[in-house]
Amino acid sequence: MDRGMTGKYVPGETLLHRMDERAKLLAFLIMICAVIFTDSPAGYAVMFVFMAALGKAAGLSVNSVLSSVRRLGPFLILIFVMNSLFYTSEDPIWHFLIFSLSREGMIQGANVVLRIALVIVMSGILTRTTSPMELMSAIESLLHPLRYIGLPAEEIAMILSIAIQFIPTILEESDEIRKAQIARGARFESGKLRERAMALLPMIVPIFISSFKRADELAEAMEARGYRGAKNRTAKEKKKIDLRSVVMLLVCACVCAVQIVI
Amino acid sequence: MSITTERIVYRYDRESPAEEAVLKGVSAEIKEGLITAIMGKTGCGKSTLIQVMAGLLDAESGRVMVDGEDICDRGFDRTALRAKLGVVFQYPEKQLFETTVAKDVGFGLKHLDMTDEEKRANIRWALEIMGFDPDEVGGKSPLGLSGGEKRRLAIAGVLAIRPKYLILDEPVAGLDPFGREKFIHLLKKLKKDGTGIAIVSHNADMVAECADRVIIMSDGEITMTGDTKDVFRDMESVAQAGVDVSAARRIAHALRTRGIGVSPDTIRYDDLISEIVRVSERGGK
Ligand SMILES: Nc1ncnc2c1ncn2[C@@H]1O[C@H](COP(=O)(O)OP(=O)(O)OP(=O)(O)O)[C@@H](O)[C@H]1O
Ligand SMILES: [Mg+2]
Repeated sequence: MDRGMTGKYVPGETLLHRMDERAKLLAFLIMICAVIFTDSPAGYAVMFVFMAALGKAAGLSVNSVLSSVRRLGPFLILIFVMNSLFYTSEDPIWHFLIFSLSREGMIQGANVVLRIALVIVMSGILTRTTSPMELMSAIESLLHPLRYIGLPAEEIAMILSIAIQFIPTILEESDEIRKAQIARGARFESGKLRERAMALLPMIVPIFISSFKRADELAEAMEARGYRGAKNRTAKEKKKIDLRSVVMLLVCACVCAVQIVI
Repeated sequence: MSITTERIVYRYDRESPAEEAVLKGVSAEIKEGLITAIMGKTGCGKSTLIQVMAGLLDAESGRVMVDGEDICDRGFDRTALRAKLGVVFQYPEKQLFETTVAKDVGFGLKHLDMTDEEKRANIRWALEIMGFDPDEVGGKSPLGLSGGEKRRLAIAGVLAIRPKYLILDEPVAGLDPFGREKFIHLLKKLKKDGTGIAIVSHNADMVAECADRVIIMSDGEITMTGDTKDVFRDMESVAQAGVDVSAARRIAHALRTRGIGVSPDTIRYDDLISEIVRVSERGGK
């Protein structure tokens, strides 16, 4: 077993690392919308090719980009199976008690799984190339306009960026627990897919517990270090967005537009 | 019979090969019936090494041989490896995941060929030997234990499978002096029964007390290896790796530089006392 990409920030000098974080976050949001609206094979193909290109631009190999998806494989399969079996369709292929397998159900299942996979890959690329600080300041600037209607933009930014960072933390945590279970004889390494999926079940509870504990510790640590809400923080200088980042954002928006249209 | 690593190279992020490897060709050996201590500065790669040894991290190059078999071979039986090799991680809270203490200790037994009776007996034995009252703590949640108790529980969970090899990462950190004493005693007993033990530790006094051999690492490489006495005798080289020798060895050294002829092999507290008695009986020289 090995730990692949967990989505943790890795300092670097690639094109994506240097892209302005606000443009990057905006592009990320646009891409999420694009993913939500995708449902044609051509649309997915465009998205996957685009992700591969982005991964390349971030200096990541296909293998590492896909590894976080692979790690969640059993969950994705479960989602696919649930969708295929519980879709209420006019003409099911197969019917048994409450289960009914249908073509539409399978298509919907595939859609959901592909979308989740794309979002995982996208957030992996984002968090891998953007430091937590950058991410937070990007969210903050994008939410800035909300201040005028009285919303606490900085607090929301803080919450969101912590939430985004929690995804890799949870993945990493699940790696640790998995390692501990393997060390004590749990069989993830071999066995059929079904057995491996079953072996994941006892992990879910500890992962949640440790995530909550983590959240608790984080809150305590923030308080201990004197975090008293965003108000007291010194304002940072606003930096100008550079031309290259704008161009990259536009390219990304165009790809997404094309992909929604086809 | 032993666990040996051969020229292990490991890096956490293979995506950036430019980065320096964490292990740079490490060849080490953990022998059956001996206690081997692994020492070195923080971040030198000790925890990484033992995880590679236990087959939990895959090396980039090099081999890990357990009892003469390459653990990366296709035909190698990983399940059998888990039954004979126990690892206690540096952060025991990462190792406890079951809902009750008894279940947690029993986790490793699930896959072993044993009757329920035997399993229960093993759980009791492991809990008792690590200083718990099985009837009192068995039903509690591991998360509610104190730091030192969690460490003892993690060790109990590994001891329960009665492994032939035992790898312990900082096992005494967080234990009180009494618990440490008892633990050293337990290690010596397990060793006598033939268990091959590796301990990662910053505690030189404990290492002097129980280790037969010492491996000193520095920056992903092994810089010294040998019998504890021999390694600790060369205080200068040990210090170069950022490691301390035991207090007894330092005192013996200080006495020698003042012309008091205690042996340079004195590394344990008890030995130091008998050396001082021996020398003073001869009239100071
Ligand atoms: N999960 C990880 N991902 C990336 N790098 C890591 C990871 N774990 C450890 N490292 C790096 O590998 C190096 C060796 O770490 P390791 O934990 O093996 O050190 P150690 O000798 O056990 O230190 P300590 O005495 O503090 O426990 C360190 O530089 C550390 O930053
Ligand atoms: Mg360590």
